[in-house]
Amino acid sequence: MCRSKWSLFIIVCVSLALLTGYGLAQEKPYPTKSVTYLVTFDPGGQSDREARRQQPFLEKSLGQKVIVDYKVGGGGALGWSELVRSQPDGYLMAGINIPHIILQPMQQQTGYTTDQIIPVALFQRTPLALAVLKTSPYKTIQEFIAAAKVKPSDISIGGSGTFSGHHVATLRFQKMTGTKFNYVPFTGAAPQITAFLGGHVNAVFGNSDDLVKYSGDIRVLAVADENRFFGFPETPTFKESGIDIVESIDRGIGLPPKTPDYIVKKLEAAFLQIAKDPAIQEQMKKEGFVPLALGSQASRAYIEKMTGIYKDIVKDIKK
Amino acid sequence: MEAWSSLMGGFAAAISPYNLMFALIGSIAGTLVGVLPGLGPTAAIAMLLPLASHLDPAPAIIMMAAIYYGAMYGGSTTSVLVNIPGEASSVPTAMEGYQLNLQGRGGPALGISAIASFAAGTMGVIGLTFFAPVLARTALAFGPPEYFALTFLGVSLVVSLSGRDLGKGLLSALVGLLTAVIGLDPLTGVTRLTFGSMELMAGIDFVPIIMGLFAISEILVNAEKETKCILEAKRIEWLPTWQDIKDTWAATIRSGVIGFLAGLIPGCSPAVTSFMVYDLEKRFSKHPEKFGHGAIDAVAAVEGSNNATASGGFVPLLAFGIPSGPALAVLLGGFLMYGLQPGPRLMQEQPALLWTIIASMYIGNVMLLVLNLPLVGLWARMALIPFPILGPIIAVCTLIGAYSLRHSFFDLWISLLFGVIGYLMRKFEFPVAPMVLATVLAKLMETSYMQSLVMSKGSPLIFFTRPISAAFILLTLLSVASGIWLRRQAKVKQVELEESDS
Amino acid sequence: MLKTQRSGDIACGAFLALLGLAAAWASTTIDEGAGGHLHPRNFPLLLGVLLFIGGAGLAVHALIARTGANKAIGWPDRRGWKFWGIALAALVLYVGLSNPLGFLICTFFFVAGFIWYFGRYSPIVAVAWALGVAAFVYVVFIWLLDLTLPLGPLAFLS
Repeated sequence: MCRSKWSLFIIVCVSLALLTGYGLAQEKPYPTKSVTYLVTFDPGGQSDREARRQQPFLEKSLGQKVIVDYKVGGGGALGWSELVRSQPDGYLMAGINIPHIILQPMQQQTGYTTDQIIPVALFQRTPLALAVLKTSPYKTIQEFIAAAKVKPSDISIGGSGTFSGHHVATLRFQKMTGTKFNYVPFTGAAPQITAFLGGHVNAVFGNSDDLVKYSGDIRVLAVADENRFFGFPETPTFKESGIDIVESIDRGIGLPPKTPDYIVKKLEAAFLQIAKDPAIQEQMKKEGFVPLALGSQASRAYIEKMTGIYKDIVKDIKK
Repeated sequence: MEAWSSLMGGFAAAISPYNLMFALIGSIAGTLVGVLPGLGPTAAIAMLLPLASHLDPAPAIIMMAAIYYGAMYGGSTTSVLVNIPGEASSVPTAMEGYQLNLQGRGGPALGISAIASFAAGTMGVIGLTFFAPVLARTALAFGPPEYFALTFLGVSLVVSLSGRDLGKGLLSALVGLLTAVIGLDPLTGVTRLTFGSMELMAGIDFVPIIMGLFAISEILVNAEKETKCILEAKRIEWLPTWQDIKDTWAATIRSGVIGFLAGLIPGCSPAVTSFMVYDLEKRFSKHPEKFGHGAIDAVAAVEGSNNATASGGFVPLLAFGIPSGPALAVLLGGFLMYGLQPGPRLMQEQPALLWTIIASMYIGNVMLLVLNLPLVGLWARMALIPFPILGPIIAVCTLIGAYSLRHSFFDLWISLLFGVIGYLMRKFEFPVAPMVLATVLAKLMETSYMQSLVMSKGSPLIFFTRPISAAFILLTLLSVASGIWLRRQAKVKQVELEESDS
Repeated sequence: MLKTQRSGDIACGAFLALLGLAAAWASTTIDEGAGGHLHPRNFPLLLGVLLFIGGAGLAVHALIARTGANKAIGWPDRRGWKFWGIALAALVLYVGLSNPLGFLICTFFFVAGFIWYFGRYSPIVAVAWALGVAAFVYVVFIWLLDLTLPLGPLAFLS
């Protein structure tokens, strides 16, 4: 009797514990209020336009208002350091850009680390491509490389900033072809392209969507992607020319560290649903973006892969 | 005359009630965000983007463009009335317009700035209509060395903006440059002078600085003086007279031409243009002694150049899809939203749309004039509100405006800090304008200098071997030399005056 | 203390020289980045040094040439300082409390307090103006311009 009393007590305790434990793990309904979508670049830029495109669809699938907010500064670093310091309750998410979130923490203290950000999804990429003006003497990537070998450091390549995708692409290109270029950094894509069209630099590593706009004036020598880019179907990839460079700017969405799994899943589903919408993919393509639909796990794996590649290159810059 | 017939076609489309309505909405919204300090067309256009996606491209872009040039009309209001330039390009307006307001001539100053905005803005649109294809390539002629030479010329304006004491003006400019360096270096991304602070990493924006130097310090000064009403003049004029228009028309036309040409250069900030125009008017004025004490032709010139620059900025935007500033970048986003890529191809594929937009800009400028002139009397009467009531309203509007820029409370603390600094600068007689100009120019100056050296592999000769850049540097040297000479002349005169007085 | 422009110049010059020195020293700790012809350290270093020279020059010039020795600085009297301090304190409170309490509530108290204290109006007039200004902020900034401002307890209004 005594024993059964105790066992009853234990059973009650255990089941209570289980219940409360279950209760704790129980998913709180999400979202119950408006969700903030933080854009870390200027309004009107690619990240902002994508957020604005997604906003109405997100509101529909989440059933709550989505507020697009801006935290601009430090090439995105300011917004991302705010992201990793905010509550992991799913009510603040931020657009993320690769390679920015990998390269910035490698360069210096920026207030966040790459692995602090939980990637939810990646939904678009702009492969980089090497381009010259139509009037330029270089017709193919081989001619370009040959010319660079004749006069090292004489040919200038314009890009956006240092420790950026454009800079890294130039360095990888130099390393793989044994050439040396004069890399001229600009403060963003707009001044970069303006200087390029004005002939102030000989070539650029540009984002595909920027280059598509000027396809009448420029000649794209090679695209740094796995496959040919639909905007320039005639242009070979670097890989086809035997140079193993795949470089792109990828855009996605991230959450603060320790965000519960069910929130990540819920947002992942919402974003992937939009990313897989054929009408939206068609729009993206028209603007020069490659549509993507990578979920949380796949995005994380991709970030880890790229981190490995960048580690060695950054070592080269820093020494 | 091909442009002429295309333009007439554009007018036929732009005059439809539907398009007119959106031009009007844009004009009203633009005036509103222009009047509110800190808020600018960028935020307003960005905000309307999702709304605009329900419209056809023509009315949507007509509306967004109207917000952009409409904001230039409102910019002078707070500068003249309460000494708060909403953005850097209105700083010279505040320097002269506020003095006029104190003399009871706030109404004429506002009226003249509306008329100058209209006249110069329309000149800019005429330039856009007829000379865009010829002039578009100037946008591309400017590479890093040319930009550096341009900023060099800009900084040399400090000499004439320094008031009586050149040394203090230079120190003020140095502090401004140093403030602008804080944050990430725009080229290398290296953090500078941030002392580990995340907020400083984003840099110090110049709008909160201007808000502090002008608005907050104005409130502090008036609080200590227990001002009853900022307007002490006995005789108050509400509207400009014919004499005012006669005095300013030449300055308006000059500034219209210069403003339009400067608008063609995408990296040239409108603030540089307005300071340059101000300096030119001061030099060629028949009454240079009036400058700093309420010169109405300076108000006309500065406000006119702002609007002409806004019209000029459409040339690189429509010809190449190159935006000259954040507001036009958002407007470009509007084009892209419809799958329209401004550039030569759009000119061939959608000429009707482009001409409708250009035609709507003529109509929009007329609307803005009609909208703003009757408001002048109303605004000018605002200066009659007692200071204890006006002061907190100014504070609330400027601080919320400064907040809205980056959604950052840190910016508000910066505003207060520079409010106290501005107050001390008034007491110790340091001129404020050089500091504003320096903070605006610093980034472009440094980055273009470094880029030029990268291009030339370290040789500074690049600034002298390129014709445009060499011309600007020569112009700078001439301007500094003549500025110092004029200053000396003025000093001699002053000494003579003082001696004859005694 | 600091009664004349001369003493003001000396103090400002000394302060700016120190600021320049501090900036120059802080610039030497800046990372040199990617090398090449890009030296993120040089410009701030140059500015710091120039500021040091300029500030010192101003102070020394005022010391030796005695410029502005007979020109008084327009400082307020004791009563003026009191009003100055209260205005600044009100602004500091406004900025400091706007985050937790929201702009609307702070605007109301700031405007009402300012009008009541500086204008000597009756509290009813002050409150009426304050309500009007808060309503203006709500209608223009939040409703028309759709800005996301912190609103504290009134967050439901957004």
